[in-house]
Amino acid sequence: MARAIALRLLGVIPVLFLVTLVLFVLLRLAPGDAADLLMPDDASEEEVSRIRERWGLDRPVLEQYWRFLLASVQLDFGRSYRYGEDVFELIVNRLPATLELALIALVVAAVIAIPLGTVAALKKGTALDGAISVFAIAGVSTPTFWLGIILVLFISAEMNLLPSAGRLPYGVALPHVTGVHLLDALLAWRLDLLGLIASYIILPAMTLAFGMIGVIARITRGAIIDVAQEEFITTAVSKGLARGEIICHHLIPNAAVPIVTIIGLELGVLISGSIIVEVVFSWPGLGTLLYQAISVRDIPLVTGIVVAYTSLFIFINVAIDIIYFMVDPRIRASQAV
Amino acid sequence: MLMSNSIPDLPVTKDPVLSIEGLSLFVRTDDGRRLKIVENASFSIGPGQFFALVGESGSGKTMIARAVMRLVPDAVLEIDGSIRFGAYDLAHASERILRPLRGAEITMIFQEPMSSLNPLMTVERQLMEVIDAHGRFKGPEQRERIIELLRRVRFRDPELILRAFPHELSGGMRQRVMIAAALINEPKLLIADEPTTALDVTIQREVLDIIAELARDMGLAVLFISHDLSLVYENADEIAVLYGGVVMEHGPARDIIERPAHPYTAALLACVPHRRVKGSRQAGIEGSVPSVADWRQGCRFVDRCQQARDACRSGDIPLVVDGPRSVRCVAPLLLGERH
Ligand SMILES: Nc1ncnc2c1ncn2[C@@H]1O[C@H](COP(=O)(O)OP(=O)(O)OP(=O)(O)O)[C@@H](O)[C@H]1O
Ligand code: SF4
Ligand SMILES: [Mg+2]
Repeated sequence: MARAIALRLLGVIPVLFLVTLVLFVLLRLAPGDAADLLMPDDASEEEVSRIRERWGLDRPVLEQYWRFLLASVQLDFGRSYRYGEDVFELIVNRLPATLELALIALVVAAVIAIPLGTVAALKKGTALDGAISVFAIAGVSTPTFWLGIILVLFISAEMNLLPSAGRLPYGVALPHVTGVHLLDALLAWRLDLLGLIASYIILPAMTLAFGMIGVIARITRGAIIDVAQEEFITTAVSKGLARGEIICHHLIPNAAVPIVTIIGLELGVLISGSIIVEVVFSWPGLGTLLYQAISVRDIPLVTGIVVAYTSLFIFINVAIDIIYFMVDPRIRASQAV
Repeated sequence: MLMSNSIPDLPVTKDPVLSIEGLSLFVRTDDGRRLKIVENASFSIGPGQFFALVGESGSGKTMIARAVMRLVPDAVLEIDGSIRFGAYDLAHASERILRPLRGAEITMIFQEPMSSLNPLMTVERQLMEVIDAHGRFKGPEQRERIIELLRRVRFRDPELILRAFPHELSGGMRQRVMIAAALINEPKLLIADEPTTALDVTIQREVLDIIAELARDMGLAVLFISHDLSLVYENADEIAVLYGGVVMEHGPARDIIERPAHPYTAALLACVPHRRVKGSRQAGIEGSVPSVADWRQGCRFVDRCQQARDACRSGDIPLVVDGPRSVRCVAPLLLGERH
């Protein structure tokens, strides 16, 4: 198992190589460069070209890329044009906010979608199944940004129920340990802050979760229906087990592998969705940072963030492999080399 | 009387464990049709009796077995007639009554040991859950009971088996685990639906022996389903021969084997290798079981029967009863000759 995971992690390297290469070429193919964009309009040609030289923008693209590769293996992604700060540090500071939002959205989606899908499967063909199906399709087909804006308008602006921007109000101090607010509040034993923190997370997390709920619920439904036809379910019934026991111990665990696979495939949706949601809800994570970086063509920062997202994607996939190992002894056996 | 010499061998059937009367089964298909798959079957199984239900593929054996335990949803399988087990009529019992019976009083083992165990659970958990569900053994007794049963199904190292997952066991081992699970709560009735069909020939005999031996020791009634007369005739006390959803012949095993009364039974026996008369054809019975979608008047076997005559094609075929034996045929072989 350790070997299989190590192999998967090694697989990160060529992927990152490709992603950064494509990114590098694309960013530099676009007309105009960072120097044009960032220097004040009245800056002289000389000033602009001096900046170009300092940032290495006057070099051939491949040479720039080579320098970038050399530096990035030491986690040096250069300085942000816009903030003047170290890119890696900027990313590390913003990452916890993104992780907190994405993870909570994922958990919310799973906690809602898996029971929904299970109920739909057990009540296959009934009106309830139909209603869940409609809800799922609504989830899949509602654009994230649209839902986010609607929620901000109605729940925050109109009804004033929940905050719509940021992670905490100004003036609330939270000791920074992990950067994940809920965790930090627990570590500092500031239980009074948990509710406040949660109130900021709810709307963006629900927005992000909504699209995933549809997909996960539909896959769960299909997986449960398949497993329900397996002979070992008949065995479980013939043993006189309670219905709930059959569902929780036999049906759902055996449906878990396809469900987890889908959650893995949905990661792309989760990540792109989280960028949109962060921007809509001014959530100070990697997504908003990326948005700002792109709008000023802050090449080192954009590159660094894309590398961060790509790594994140791959790490979560490895985590999913580990879940497979834990759930299914057959996979454990086949990978035990 | 022809059969009188065998009657003293019969176990007492005064108070049967399972008593099926006038059982008809109907399947509702996805496209809304209602197909009759079993018609008017009646038989009963006494305590300690090994009852073999024999028939070709598609004759309705599995459906009868599953109807007894009510394992098929009511929306799919409609049951007519009665299935008496103790004070209950299982054909019309509610889930509330059925659940405590399943796994404790009535248990079942299936044809495919590869798929009848949960692949994600250790053997220990799968045995423990059926003990837990019925509360007949408590605390440390539970584990002792599990170990004891694993020993009795002839595992030399039960502790090792307990920790195993199904994929780590062979088909025969899995089937023995299933037998252990089925017998752990000391049931009154064991239903075995072709438990050896999927196994290697060498292991078939062992698994059958284990079932027969434990059933004898525990005084268990066994409904043993098989398509193979030669497999069951040594162990069975009684045999019912099912053809196209109709019980064609029923009676004490030895009588039926020695003097089949129904042309179908006779044809089946002619296929059993070591019973074949020298020079007779090796092939099985020509033709195939009539479809469940095709119920005509008269005998279901008529298209394949060498004794077929006009009377076989119309009306209901009468049930000829002689002592413990019964035959559904207008011209039963041996019984018929006396009429
Ligand atoms: N859902 C269904 N729709 C239509 N026909 C069905 C359905 N289920 C079972 N049948 C029919 O019912 C008949 C009896 O099936 P059953 O499985 O009981 O046969 P069997 O004697 O156990 O055969 P086998 O030896 O193959 O296990 C078969 O002819 C089968 O085609
Ligand atoms: S009833 Fe007629 S067709 Fe049917 S088994 Fe008897 S003789 Fe053959
Ligand atoms: Mg069958």
